[in-house]
Amino acid sequence: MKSECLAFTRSPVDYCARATRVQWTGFIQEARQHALLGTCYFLARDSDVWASLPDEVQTHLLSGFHYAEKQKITLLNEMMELEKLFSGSDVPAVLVKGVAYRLAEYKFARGRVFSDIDLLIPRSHYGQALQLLKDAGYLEFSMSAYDRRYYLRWTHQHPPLTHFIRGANIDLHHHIFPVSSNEHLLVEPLIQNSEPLPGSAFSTPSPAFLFMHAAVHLFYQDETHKLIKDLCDLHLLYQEVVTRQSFQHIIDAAIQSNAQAAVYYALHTLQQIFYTSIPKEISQIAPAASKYRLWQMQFLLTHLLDTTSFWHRPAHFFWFVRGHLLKMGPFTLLYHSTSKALEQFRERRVLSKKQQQLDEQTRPGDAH
Amino acid sequence: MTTTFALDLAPFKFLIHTSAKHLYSQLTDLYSPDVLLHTRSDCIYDFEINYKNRFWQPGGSLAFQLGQQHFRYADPDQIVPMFEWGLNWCVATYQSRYLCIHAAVLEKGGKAVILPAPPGSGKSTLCAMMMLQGWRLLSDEHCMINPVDGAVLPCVRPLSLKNNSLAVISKLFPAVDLKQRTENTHKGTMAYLTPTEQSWLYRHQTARPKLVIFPKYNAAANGLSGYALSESALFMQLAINSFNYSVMAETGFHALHQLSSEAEGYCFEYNDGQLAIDQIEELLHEE
Repeated sequence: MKSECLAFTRSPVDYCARATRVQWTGFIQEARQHALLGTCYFLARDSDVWASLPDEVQTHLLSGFHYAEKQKITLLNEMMELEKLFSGSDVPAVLVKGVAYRLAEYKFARGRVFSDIDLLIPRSHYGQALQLLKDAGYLEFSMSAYDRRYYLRWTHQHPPLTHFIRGANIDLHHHIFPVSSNEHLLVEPLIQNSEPLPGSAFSTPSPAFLFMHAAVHLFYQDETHKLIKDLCDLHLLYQEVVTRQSFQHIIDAAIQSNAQAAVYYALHTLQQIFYTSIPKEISQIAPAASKYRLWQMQFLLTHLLDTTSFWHRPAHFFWFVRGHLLKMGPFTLLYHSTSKALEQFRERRVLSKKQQQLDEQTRPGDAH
Repeated sequence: MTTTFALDLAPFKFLIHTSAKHLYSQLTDLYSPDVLLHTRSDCIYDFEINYKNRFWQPGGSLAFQLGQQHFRYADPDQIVPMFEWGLNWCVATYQSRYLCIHAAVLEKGGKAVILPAPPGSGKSTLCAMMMLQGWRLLSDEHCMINPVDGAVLPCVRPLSLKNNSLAVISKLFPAVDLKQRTENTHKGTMAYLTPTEQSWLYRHQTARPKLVIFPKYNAAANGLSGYALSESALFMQLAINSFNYSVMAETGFHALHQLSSEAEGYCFEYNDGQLAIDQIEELLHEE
């Protein structure tokens, strides 16, 4: 089975005209699974197909709409708290990913579900920002010593911070890509090209850099469970970025950030999946992409998105290894995998002992 | 071997894939043949459920899953109660088109009586007694309010009873057959009452909310006592008992406001359900 959500996002009008009722069943399940109900609600509204949707589909898209509206309130409320913190300091803070789409008023962000607030702080002010957040009650919650060290030593962010009362999560970044990687991406151009939000202490990356970051995020990652959502996001983001800035800006952002390959793969994928027509200026960044990697990515994506394919399950594993290799290189990966395996083995032994003791004393919890 | 079948309930339809050989025949005990069906290709299903055992799960436990989302494992001898709880979970967690309140709903003469209450207050027993005395059952678990027009949507499913309720109902209605009795679940002994014929028949027909009763059974009480709730107290009590009030934000607020101004709210405490039912009838006929 191919992805119904990608087909719907590609063209809601065509999809609605052709979808069978079996496909609609699949669509509802997939959109729920990938938290795309809200996004699809607004797509249906914007392309004037809402009234023609079957009632069952409207039910679930409305559910997604309500959930997205609720999240918008939670997010804006949390941003008001952060505003108080950062407006009193001289820390330059850039909002990235979901929260940037929302506050820079991208249309596709209206139905988007987010799980945390991503902040990017220049190295020079990173410690200051961390202290500011900790003093305001954003704390680190339990994590194994190895995982914590992993975050601090190899990734581009601090271990997640959670507000001790409101439960809001903040990912504090100092780079757009793990420092352990061999890819040498640059973060400074993104920070220099960020635009201040009117009346706020925060800024957001310029549209072209926002796209560059999304491309990096998608193509250097190891997880597969959010792939369909990320692809839909990338497509919808691209559609809006090219109305705000010229295509050449995207190319320039890629070159300045040394992310030519990621952006090239991203554009290529948009062409493959969403039939997007890409301007010929793309040739300026083509030399950075390797033919092998392009083939590898296309192959994996094709099979990841086709649940009936023989390669569907193996593709998950290869995507996972590929993402990790890009993040940390082979030697670090070997060290990381060994440590992680040992740690998990130890944890399981302790956990199963604890669980056995607990089971003897208690009965399972209330099941609705 | 996987069996696939459908539950064509209102307002949601379920598509079920299961490895349990007997689940389908067990469910014929509980569901009317109009709703327990083979799958059809001209139908859109709201929830596609996998209810299967896993080779690495000892003892043949079944995992109840909606997509990748796992609910619970069920012991092989408790698959019916866990299935019913699983359906409740799908509705309570994954829909917010309608405001969903944890309450039983029954109807007479087009007027709905909503019975919200925390577990253990005697809500299900009262609900079963009312249904067996001719009230139409809309739901024993989910009171669905359509925010567009304020109507109560039926969500007709078997009525679940547990522990002491079983003896009470058997004593009051000796002719009634309690189905799929299951011992030793984590909530104790469970059994189910099939909705009456008219409840199944009118499962698509909405009703206007008229009364909201918060019942509390107390064996030590002296007959029936109760008091009326102010509109604002009713609003707050309904919000507390709602599954998705917080998700529905502004829409939920307006829906609850409409409900609490349209219906009257009372708290009842009684040592005999029949007294409560007589009082409800009386309140319904006022005006």
